[in-house]
Amino acid sequence: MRKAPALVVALGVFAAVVTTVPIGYLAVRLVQGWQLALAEILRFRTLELLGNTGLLVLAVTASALVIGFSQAWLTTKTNVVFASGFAVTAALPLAIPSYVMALSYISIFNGLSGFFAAWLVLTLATSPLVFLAVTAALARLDSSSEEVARTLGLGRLQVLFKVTWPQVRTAATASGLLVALYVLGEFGAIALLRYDTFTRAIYNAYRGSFDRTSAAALAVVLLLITLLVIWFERKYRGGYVASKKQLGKKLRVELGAWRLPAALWLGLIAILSTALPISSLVIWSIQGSANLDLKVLLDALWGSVQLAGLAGIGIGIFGTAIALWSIRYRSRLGQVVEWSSWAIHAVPAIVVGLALVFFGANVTPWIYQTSWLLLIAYLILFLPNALAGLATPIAQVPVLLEEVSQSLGVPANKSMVRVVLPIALPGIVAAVSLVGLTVLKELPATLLLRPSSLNTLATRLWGATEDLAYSQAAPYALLLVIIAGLPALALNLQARRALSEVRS
Amino acid sequence: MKKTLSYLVAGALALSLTACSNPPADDKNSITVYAGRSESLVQPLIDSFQEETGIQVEVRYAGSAELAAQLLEEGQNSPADVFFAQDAGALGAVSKAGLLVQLPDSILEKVPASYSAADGSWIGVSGRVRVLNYNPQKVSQLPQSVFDLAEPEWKGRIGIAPTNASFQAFVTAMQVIEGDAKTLQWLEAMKDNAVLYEKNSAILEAVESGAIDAGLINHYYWFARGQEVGFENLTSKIGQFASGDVGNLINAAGVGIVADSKAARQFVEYLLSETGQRYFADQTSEYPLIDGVSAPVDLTPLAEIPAPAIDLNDLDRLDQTLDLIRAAGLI
Amino acid sequence: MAELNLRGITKTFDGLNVLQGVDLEVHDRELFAVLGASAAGKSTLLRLIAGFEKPTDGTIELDGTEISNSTSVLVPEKRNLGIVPQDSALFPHLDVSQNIGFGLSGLSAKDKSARVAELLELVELTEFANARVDQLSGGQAQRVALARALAPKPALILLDEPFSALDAELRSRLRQDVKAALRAEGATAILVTHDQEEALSLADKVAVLRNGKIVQVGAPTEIYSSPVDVGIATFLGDSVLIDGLVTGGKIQTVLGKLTASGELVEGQAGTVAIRSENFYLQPNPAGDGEVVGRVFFGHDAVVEVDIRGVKIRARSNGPFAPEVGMKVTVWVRGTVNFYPGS
Repeated sequence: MRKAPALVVALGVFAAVVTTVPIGYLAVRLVQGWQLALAEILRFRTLELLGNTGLLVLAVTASALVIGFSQAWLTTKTNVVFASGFAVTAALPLAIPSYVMALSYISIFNGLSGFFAAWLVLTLATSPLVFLAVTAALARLDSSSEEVARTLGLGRLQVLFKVTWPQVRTAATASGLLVALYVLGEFGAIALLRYDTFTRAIYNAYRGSFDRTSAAALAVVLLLITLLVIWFERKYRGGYVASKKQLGKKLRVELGAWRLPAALWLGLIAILSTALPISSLVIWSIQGSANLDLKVLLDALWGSVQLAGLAGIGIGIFGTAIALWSIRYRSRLGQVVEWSSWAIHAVPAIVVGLALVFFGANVTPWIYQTSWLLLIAYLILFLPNALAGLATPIAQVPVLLEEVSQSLGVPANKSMVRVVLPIALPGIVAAVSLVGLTVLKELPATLLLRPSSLNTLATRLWGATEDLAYSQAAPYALLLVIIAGLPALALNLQARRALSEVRS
Repeated sequence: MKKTLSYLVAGALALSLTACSNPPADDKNSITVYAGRSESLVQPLIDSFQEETGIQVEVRYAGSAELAAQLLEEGQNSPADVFFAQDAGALGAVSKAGLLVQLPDSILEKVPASYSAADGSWIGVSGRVRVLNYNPQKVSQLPQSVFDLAEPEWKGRIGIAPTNASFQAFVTAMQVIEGDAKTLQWLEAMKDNAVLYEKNSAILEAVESGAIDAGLINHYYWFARGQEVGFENLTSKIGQFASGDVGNLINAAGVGIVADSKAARQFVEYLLSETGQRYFADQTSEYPLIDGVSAPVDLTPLAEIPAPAIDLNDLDRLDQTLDLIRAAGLI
Repeated sequence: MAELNLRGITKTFDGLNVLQGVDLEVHDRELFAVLGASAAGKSTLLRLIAGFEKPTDGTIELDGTEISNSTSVLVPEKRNLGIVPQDSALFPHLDVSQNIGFGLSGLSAKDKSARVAELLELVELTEFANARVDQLSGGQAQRVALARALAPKPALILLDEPFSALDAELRSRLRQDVKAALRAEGATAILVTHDQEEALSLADKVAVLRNGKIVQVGAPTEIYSSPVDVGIATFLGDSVLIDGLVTGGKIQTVLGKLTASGELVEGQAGTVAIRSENFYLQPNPAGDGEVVGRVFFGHDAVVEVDIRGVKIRARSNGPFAPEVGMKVTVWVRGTVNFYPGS
């Protein structure tokens, strides 16, 4: 019923165009060099890559599910020792970017590489995703069904498989798909561990061939696979577990003799995923502190902060405009725009980077190799994250307040500014900050698109690791964890808590 | 009020997008260099160039092949003024695409003809030799030929860097001398045998730490390391293959001008000046190419290296080399 | 001078008729109440008047100007109305004074603060001028909401069940305060509520809304004493229903001959509605009525009496109400209402 202001529509359309055009250009490039592209796709090597990628995705998803679920169940539902402590350590690895995790392992185990290394590192990096999702689902459960099952004679394990699991299955599956998408798009860790999946092959094809059509071909194959997984994810994403208003008493499963082994298991994961990497980084940093070129570090830090800040502000503006447009104005077009940016949300960063390199070099050379093109890449990559985070604070402001404002003589659009925005502002700021922190950690798109003089913590880390100069790389890694990883984790947990409060 | 705001924002966005176009060529005070060399090795020289001339240099570091590919992709739109490559192959490829301008004779005559392009589109600035970096405790008998490394006994013990320009130039030389079929065979054997690294410096690290027993690198990495920590503290040594073996390839790092300007020429001249050449000799242990600057004492003179006979100009088929390396599955 | 006219207002949502052919006239300075059960369409009516909904049919006129019809609706911000919603809906990011002054953007800073001060005094919240919204109690919040709505001197104030969220004690006090404030501002107001006490005690005129239709409009006493049909009779206040037959100008019932208000047709059978408070119970061992139930409320009591096969509920003086088991004679005072048919 209401018309969104021209500015909002303009921002929304701009974002939608910017998001879809470069990816479209990738397809154009492919068509132009279709013979080469076809040859590339039909190579045996591509099949090999498919196998490698598929194997890694399946293996990591399976192990992340097992580990994440076990952590969630043990800390939420049983009387394991130190449950709340382990709940914290289970989420902590999210503060460590996956390529930092890989770096720390390489620096401990000289020459670590290959499938098992990638499997280990990525499992440790992604199980927190499963852990958080399953914990939230378990917390909403009413344990009365489990209590009844126990009285009917089912043992603890049987209750777990027959009663508990089916109720959290949706949440677990959804998070499993998230893990799969993550692994598909993962670049830094896999490249450092020298395991050949699509992302690494795309990067190498980009660097190591003159006609980059082959890189484009691989990118499109990866894109198709990703879209397939997104399609599956969408089917599971929409359904939130219906929560009862009155949460039942929490049943604590008695572990008995299993108490100690369970604690050891949780402790082992905590050590492998957090304690070991961090200590390795700290030790290497201390070693490297003597040779540390502070000027280079600060320059990289400034580069990271600059980009994160600009990206945060830009994405915040676009995101807020689109969220307002699609949520509060309920415009058809607004929802289409929101969907289009969301559909691209899991496209691997390297594919986006590649598409923009092509697009920039050939179509819009005046922004090529400038920060602007990089910021556009960040917009494409992280606008969906922003929209997801902005949805709740913006939707939560009661429509009644807008109506009261209108009745007092303030027109609809101005009411949005005077009433909705100020009230939603804390939530908006949190969502935008989270996006900024994610930009801080970004690697592949930054590598491909950065202006020659701009370095970030991530790119410097990358360069040092290529030289196997761990003592040089470690300080950058630590810095990333401290200024990006930890705050992001805190904001993430806060957002989840707010969301669960809204839902229950 | 809202309308004016929208126009202002749109205008600002549009303006900012156009703001980053390149200024006109001739009285520039800044150049962009695509450098396919290691930042830690050449940035100090570039810094002193900036200090001496006041010309700002924006350097983009990446692999030579990647930068060549980038130049080819960008074509006339490229922001680069100078291409400083690690090896002749990358330069030749870019020259073949017509992206390098003819260098003036005054520059070309500074180095021996064998170290620059026949058509004058690029010029070498420092010489390098391919060597076998090995751990004497693990390797008792040096392989006679680089082809010996294809034997199963070397599985997991040898390191190569297939994305590195020097390795790629070496493979090109192998193609020229031995033919595509034999080269592909060797590369496929390497896929089985070799541990892959991104850079020469990483290979050296790996041999030093004992992760691998030997690796194919450029000579100066070992010398630079020795200077840094003391030669007596180095575990590994370097050695050559039998005389004439392609594994002993002599190559040259070089420059070509992409967008001609006074500043670009000044940069090239600086690299070929006594200051520049002395830097390569003393700081990076490479072979200087101009008269009047002698090679570091502990280096075997270029003339005495048992190198294969090959014209650097023939190395300009980098794209075919890359195809072969990719066909072998190394990239 | 605010005169609101609704003519034939009909609103349909997804095939469901929420309002049908509603006609209303609200005069200047009138406090008009729309009384109806939940889901009778009261809130929709208010939203139509405010301009947040478009009528499916009918027109709304304010001071002679048409502001809503089935094809176009004047936007809310141009209607010069004030809303006091059910839960005050104060702006949480502004303090009390800023809330009150929200609609005063046209005034100079001096005029604005003067008006805000005036209203703070009116609702007796002067010392809360800079208080944060979350520091207010329910009643205080409603008063601020009222002040906010009154500040721009609107033509009409719309109150949507403004007291239902408050507890009983607070309610009655606040009601009178609100009435006084509205009178003092000379405001015209429409109040929608499901609470009869509220409608009857506050309004100058009451309209009863049932299933989307206006069933009766009149002054509170009129509606109370002469409800137009059985439905209203039982809805408004407590009525006892018994059968009756018009005989000789009076109604013959089991309780005797009763006097009815309004026109009577001889021989007509129908239902008689008697207000509980119209009964008088006289303790009489030989009486026909037997007390079978008694609920004590303190100041009064409701006594259930079984008489000649009919159960009636009578209001009685609290401490002196007849006990269970006592015999009583039942008298009916005043007039009753007769509804022909059943």
